[in-house]
Amino acid sequence: MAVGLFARQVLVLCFDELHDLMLRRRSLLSLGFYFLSIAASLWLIFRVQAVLGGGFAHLDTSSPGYQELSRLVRQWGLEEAFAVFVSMSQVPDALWIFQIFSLLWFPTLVALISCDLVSIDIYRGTLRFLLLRTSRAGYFFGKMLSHFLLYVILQALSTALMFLIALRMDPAFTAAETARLGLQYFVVFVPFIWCMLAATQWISSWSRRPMSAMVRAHLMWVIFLVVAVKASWLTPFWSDMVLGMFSPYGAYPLKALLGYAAWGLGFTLLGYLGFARRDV
Amino acid sequence: MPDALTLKNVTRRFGKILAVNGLSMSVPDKSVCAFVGANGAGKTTTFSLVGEFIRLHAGSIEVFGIPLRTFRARGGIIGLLPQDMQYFEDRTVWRQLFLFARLAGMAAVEAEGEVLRVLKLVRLDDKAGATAGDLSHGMRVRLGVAQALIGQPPLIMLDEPTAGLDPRMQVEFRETIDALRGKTTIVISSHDLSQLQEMCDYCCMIDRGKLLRQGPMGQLLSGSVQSLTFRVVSLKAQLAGLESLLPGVDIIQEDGQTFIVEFALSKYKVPEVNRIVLAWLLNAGMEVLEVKQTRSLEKAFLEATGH
Repeated sequence: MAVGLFARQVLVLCFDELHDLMLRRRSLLSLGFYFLSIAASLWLIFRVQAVLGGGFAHLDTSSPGYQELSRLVRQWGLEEAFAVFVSMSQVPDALWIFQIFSLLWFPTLVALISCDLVSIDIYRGTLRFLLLRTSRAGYFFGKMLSHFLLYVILQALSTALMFLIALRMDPAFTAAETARLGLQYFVVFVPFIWCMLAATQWISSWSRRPMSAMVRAHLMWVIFLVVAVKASWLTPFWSDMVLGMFSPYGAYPLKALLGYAAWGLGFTLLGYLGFARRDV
Repeated sequence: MPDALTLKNVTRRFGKILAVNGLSMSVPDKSVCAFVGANGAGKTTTFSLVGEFIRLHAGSIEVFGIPLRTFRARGGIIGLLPQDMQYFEDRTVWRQLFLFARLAGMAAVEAEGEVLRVLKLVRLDDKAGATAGDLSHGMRVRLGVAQALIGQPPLIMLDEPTAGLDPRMQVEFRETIDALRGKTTIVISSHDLSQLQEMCDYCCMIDRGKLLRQGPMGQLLSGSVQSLTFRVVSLKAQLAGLESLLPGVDIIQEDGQTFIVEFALSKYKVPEVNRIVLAWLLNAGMEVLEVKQTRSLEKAFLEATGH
């Protein structure tokens, strides 16, 4: 297909889907849930601040308590875990608390909003009209781009909000430091969004009803969680990747970035190849 | 000029059912083609294959001599009205068509003009602001035809476009087809064979997923059985009297004015039947209004299928 026409079709479908998304009840409810979750994280951040008074973020590594703790950690062979813990103390509370919350709610948010990414057109029978005028690739990636943009914009705005809160609550961190950490969190979160979205779209593309896609998406995450207990490296919940989402220690962020990008690519290929061969 | 649509040994299964079984057929450019077959003959499956809604299991499809996939990849459009047309129910007619026009590669201004053009063509321009959910069945069909016309596709395929339309709308539909005649190739599938006979100049008949016959409508209608339709002011005599003069023919009375004489061309010639019937009518004192040589598509189809 001529690249120009393909790109145009992707963009036309992307903006049409974004417009449509804003009119769907479930999308609006899910976004409401998202903003409630942000409010909950803010509440938690303020509680943590009130209780710790910023102490958590500023471990005094020369204190006798810290020295004793380090000795115990070495004795128990927990150096790696301790290093991760210490690395988080070098991030403003608002940023890491929000990041952990995002990790928890995003799979659900994506499953709620994106379960009907493809299945809604199959369910209401509009897919045929669309596929008469666009290639399956144009349709698939146009839809994916629309939801990807939505989540990336939401996360960017939320991270920017957390940056402002962190600046106000954690004066020990300079604006540049906070911005760098916020940006790092955002950058590792983008492939995570892609992974969640691609997995949900894959399920949506072989489901006949949005509701069954939503249930299947949740089931998939539950199955991955169960598998992760025995062999986490086989799942998107591999501990090294998950740690990299909020700990800036060592190679973890890079593992998260590359790992989720690889999972995102895998789910995308799986979804597209299945959709391209599917009878509609 | 290559044919508008060419199917070569097209095969498609659904489980153990062979819906289309090595179908080979072609539709000439700029023709209005009747696509005829009984229920389950494979018409809708063929439409779905041309629309690439379902995958081919064997064979190939070409549009204007170009493989279907390549034709579409180059931006070629096939206007298709599927049998089970479903719309974005909560969107206005305008917005739906505008989306299709944009997807066809048109800029916004061009797309607006195109939407207006097709809406006028199907006489739905006064409903541009209505949602699809608010349209009557006939209007929904017209919306389906409008979407098939977006982008002026060189090949338009309409699956059961007149099902459920009232007589006035059927006439309007025929007028729409007449307006497009000679400008584009149209393939129409319908169970209303008399209407297809009126509208179409080419015909493809299929049965059990295979081609039975194809060719210009006139050629298909000149088969081994011939019909003559006689219309008089008033039928005053029993048609049994005529039957005794023409042994072996079927005489069917349609109403108080019209009857049809059907006969095998191997047994009688048209002038001979004409002479005998007209003489009998005049002898009986009946005034003849019209004599028409007819052979219905329905007859031709039944004959082709061996019924």
